[in-house]
Amino acid sequence: MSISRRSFLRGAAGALALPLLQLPPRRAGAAGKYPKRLLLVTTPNGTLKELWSPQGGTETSFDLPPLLRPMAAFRDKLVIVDGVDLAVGMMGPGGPHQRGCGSLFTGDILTEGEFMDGDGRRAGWASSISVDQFAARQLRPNTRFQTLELGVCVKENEPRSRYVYRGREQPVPPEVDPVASYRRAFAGMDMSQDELQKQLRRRQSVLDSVWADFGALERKVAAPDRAKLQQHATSLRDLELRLEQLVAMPSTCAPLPTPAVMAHMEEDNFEQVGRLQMDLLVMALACDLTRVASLQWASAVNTVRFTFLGINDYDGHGLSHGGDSNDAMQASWIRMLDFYSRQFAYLLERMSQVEEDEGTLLDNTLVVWGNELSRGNSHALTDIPWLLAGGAGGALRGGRHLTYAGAPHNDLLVSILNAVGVATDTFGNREVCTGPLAGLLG
Amino acid sequence: MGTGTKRGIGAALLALCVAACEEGPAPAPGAAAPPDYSGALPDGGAPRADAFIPEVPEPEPVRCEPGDFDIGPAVARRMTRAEYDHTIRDLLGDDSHPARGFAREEEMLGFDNNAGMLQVTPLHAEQFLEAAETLAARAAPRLVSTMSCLRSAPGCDAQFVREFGLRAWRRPLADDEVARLVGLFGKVAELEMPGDPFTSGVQLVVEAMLQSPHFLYRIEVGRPVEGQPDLRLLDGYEVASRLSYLIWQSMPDDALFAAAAAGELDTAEGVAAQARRLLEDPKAREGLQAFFDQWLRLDEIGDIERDPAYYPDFVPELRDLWREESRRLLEHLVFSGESTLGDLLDAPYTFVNGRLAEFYGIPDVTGEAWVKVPLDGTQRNGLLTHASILALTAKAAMTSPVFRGKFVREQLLCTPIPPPPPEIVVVPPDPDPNQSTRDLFREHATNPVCADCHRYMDPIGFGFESFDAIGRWRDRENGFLVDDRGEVTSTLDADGEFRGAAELGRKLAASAQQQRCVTRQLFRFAFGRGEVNADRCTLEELFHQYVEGGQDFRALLVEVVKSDAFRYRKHVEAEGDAP
Repeated sequence: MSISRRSFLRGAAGALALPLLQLPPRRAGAAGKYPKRLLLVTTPNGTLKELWSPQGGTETSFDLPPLLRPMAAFRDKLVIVDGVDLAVGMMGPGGPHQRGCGSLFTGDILTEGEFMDGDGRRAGWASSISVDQFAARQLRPNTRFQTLELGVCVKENEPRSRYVYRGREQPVPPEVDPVASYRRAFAGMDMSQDELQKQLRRRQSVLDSVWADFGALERKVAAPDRAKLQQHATSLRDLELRLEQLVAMPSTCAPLPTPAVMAHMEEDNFEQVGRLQMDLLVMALACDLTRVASLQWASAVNTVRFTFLGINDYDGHGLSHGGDSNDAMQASWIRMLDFYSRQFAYLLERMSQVEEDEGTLLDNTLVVWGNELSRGNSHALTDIPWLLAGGAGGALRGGRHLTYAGAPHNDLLVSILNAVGVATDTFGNREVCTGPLAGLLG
Repeated sequence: MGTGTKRGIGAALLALCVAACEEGPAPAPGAAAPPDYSGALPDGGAPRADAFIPEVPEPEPVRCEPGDFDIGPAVARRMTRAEYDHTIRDLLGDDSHPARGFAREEEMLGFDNNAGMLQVTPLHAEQFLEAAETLAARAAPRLVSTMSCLRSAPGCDAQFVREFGLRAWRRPLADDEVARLVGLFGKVAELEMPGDPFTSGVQLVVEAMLQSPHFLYRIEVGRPVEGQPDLRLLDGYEVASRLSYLIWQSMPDDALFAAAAAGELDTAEGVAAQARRLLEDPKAREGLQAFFDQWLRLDEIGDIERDPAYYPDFVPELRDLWREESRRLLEHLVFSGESTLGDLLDAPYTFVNGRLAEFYGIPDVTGEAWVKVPLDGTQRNGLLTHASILALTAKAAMTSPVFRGKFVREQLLCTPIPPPPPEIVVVPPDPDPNQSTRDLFREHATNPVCADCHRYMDPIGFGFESFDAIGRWRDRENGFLVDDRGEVTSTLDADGEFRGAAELGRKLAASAQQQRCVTRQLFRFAFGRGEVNADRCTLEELFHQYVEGGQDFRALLVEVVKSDAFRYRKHVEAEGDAP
C-alpha cells in the first residue's frame, strides 16, 4: 500500500486508491439526467414501534401510524421497512448503544477498545467503512465535497456518537456549528474565477511539497504509523479534490446567507440548528456540492433536554428509558419522537421543492432514516425503525410497507448501495450479509 | 463548546442513577429478550454474579530486572490543539492561538493527547491548510527581516529553508528536502504572487512546512540496537521533541536542538540534565499545568453553573478564583521546592486573595495579591477541600456524593467506575427541604442494582457533606445536622471510616494506591496512551522512584524521561515485511 499522491493518481491497488483519471462525466446540462444522491439521517435511542409501524393493511394499502403522520404529504415517496435487525450489532465487543451506533451504517462489529457503555462493557470504534463513505468512494462524484457530515448538538467524542466511518477505526465527526458548515460549504463563492484559479495553483504547489513528505515517510515508518499517515493522506486527497472543485462550481448556485453566530450547543437552539443544517444539506445536494451526506441528530445516550418542547425533567436518553407503564414519561417521549418525525417531514418538504427535470430533488435522492436501537427501554437491536424516502432516481418505488422476518440489516445496506448505483452483493460483515434485501428495489 | 462535555456524559448518567431504579427494564412487546446483563437479580443485597468490582493495583511487586526492555507500543503523535498553538507561538512568535477553532480531540482516559485518538479527517486537513495559509502570510515578512543572510546573497533561500526547517520539523533537513522546498521560491513568478518575490517564497515554504506530516506529527524512527531486534533507540532530535512536548507542550528551543546535535541526548543522564533545564524555564509551568488541569479536571471549572434559586451567591467570577487557588497550590507543590506533590491532598495551607478569602471567611486578607494562608485541618486541608473540586463535583442545586466519590475513585485511586446499567430507569432527585442529601441517596445502598457500583462511590462522597455545592462549609443542611461520616472500601491500603473531606485527604495522602495512581496518570499523559501489560515494569519503577524521591513531582518527571520507555521505541515490522 502506498500513501503517495502518485499512487492515488495512478489508482494503485487498495481501498484507498482514488483514481483521478476515471472521473465520471460532470453532471450533464439542464436537459440531462440529474445525479442520484444519498442522504443518511439518524436519531438516537430507539422509538416506539407500535406507534411507528403501520398496523395491518397490505404492502401498498395501509394507514400511516401516528409517528409517521407528519410525512402524510409524502406517503407515496415512503418505504416503511419492518423486521430488519442489526444482526451484526448483536456480535462483537461493546454495549448495546455502542454496537448499535457502530454497526448501523457499517454493518460490522466494533473493535476492542476502552470506551465504556452503560453496562460497563468496553469497545473501540467500528471496524469498517460506512455505507455513505463507501458509496462516495465507488461513485467518485465530481463534486466539491465527496461527502458532507452535519450534526445537531453532537457533544460527545466516543463510539456512541459516531455513525460515519472512513474505514476501520476512522470515525468522522459531524460539523455541528451551522456557521462553520455554511462558511465551509460556500467558501470561495465570492471570489472571481481568476482569483480562484490563482488560489488553486498556489495551493497545489504547496501540496506538491506536502505529498513528497508523505511519500518519503512511507518508506521509513513502521506499519501502525503508516496506517495513520495513510488516513491523513486520504483526507488530504479528498481536500485537494475539493479545492479543485472550488474552481469548477456551477455558477447557477447561489450561496445561502451565513446564519448569525449562535450558541449551537444550547438545548434551546436545538430545533433552529437542525433547521439550518437541513437547509444547508438540501442546498448542497441541489447545487451538486455533494451527492452523499448525513445528518446526525444528537448522540446515543445524549444529555440533550428538549426544553424547547417544554420537557425539562429528562434528557433524550433518560426519556427513552421510561417504563411502559410510566404514562408521564411515555407522553414526553412520544412528543420527542414526534418532533423528530416533523423534522424529517420538513427535510422531505424542502427536497421536494427543488425541481429537477420532471421531478424533484427528492425523487433523485435516497433518504435513509435509521436509529441504533428499536426501543430504548429494552435496548433491542432487532426490528430497527427504518424509513426510506425519495425515489433514488427511479430505483425505489414508494408508498409501501415491507415486513421482513428478521433480515440482517447488511442486506438493506447492500440495497441502499444498489439503489444509488453501486453494484455489490455484500457489505460489511460477510458472515451475516446474505445479499440485497429481497423485494425492496425494482 | 466548553471543555465540560468531555466527561459530561458519564457524569450526567451518574446523576440520573441517583434516586431511582424505580422500575426495572420494561420488556417491549415483540422485541427480543433484554440482554443478559439485565437478568434476574438475586434476592437481598448480595452482589450479582456479574457485579462490578473495582480494579485494585497489584499488591505484589512486579519483578523487573535491569535491561528488561519490555516497553509498550509507541505511535506517531499528532499535535493536540494546545501543542499546535504553543508550537506556533515558539516557532513564529504568533500568539493568535489558531488551533482554538480546530476540531476537538477525541479523548481517552481523560487526556486529550492520546495518540490513538488523534486522527486527521478531511475537516482537520482543511483546518491545517487554512491555518497554514494565514500564519505563513503573517509571518513571512518578519521571518525575512530576521534571516541570517541577505536575501540577495546566493544560497540565502537554501539557508533559510535549513534554518527554519530545523525548527519547524524539529530536526535537520535532508538535502533532497531542502532542494524541494527551495524549489518553491522558483514558483513565485508563475503563481503571480504579489509583493516581494523572496518574501512570497518564504511564505510558500512556511505554508508547506506547516502542513507537512513532519510538522504535524512527532514521527519517530530511531536506530537499531545491538542484540535487540525489536527495539529502536530514539535519536537525539526525537528525544528532544519528546522532552519539550512533555514539559512545555511545545517545540524544543535552540539549546535543546544543540544538545541533540551534540549527542547529549543519547544517554539517560544527558536527557535528565536537559529535562531539569526545561523544568527551570517558565514555559514548564504552563506546560505541566495542562497535565494537572486534565488529570484533576480543573479545565472544566469554567463550565460550572449554579441554580440561582439555591445558590444566589454564586457568581461566574468565583470560578476563576477557585481554579486559581488550585493551580497555585499545584505550582507551589511542584515548583517552589518548599514542598512536594505528597502534600496535594493534605496541605495545611492554601492560597487566597482578598475576594476568595472573603468567600471562605478567612480573615485579614485583602486586595488582589495572592497569599499563602495556614489551614488547621479541622475543616479544610488539601485539594479535596478546595471550592474548585467541591463545586466541580456538585450539581446545580445540590451536592452530589456520587460525583465526589467518583472523582476520588477515578482521578485519585485510578479505579474507573462504569456508568449505570442502561436498562435502569433513573430519576434524578431534586433537592428536598424535608430531607438531607444523604437521605436522598439512600436507595443506592438498598437497591442491589444500584449498590453494585454505588457502594464504591457514595460512602466516600458522603464524607464531603459538610461542603455545599459551591464549596462553603455547612454545619446544617435543611435544618438537619450534617452527617459527614464516610468510608473507603476495596482499596489496597486506604480502607476505613473517616469523618470529613479533610480527614479523607490525609488518609489518601498516606495511601500507596493513591501515590501509584499519580504515576499512572502521568504515564498516560507522557506517553499519549493508556498503560498495557508491557508497561508494568516501567510503572512499577516509576512508582517506587516517586515514593523514594519523597513524592517530588519534578524528580518523577526526570525519572520518566530517563526510563527505557521514553528513550526507546518498540519496532514493529513494516506491513510488507510481515510473514
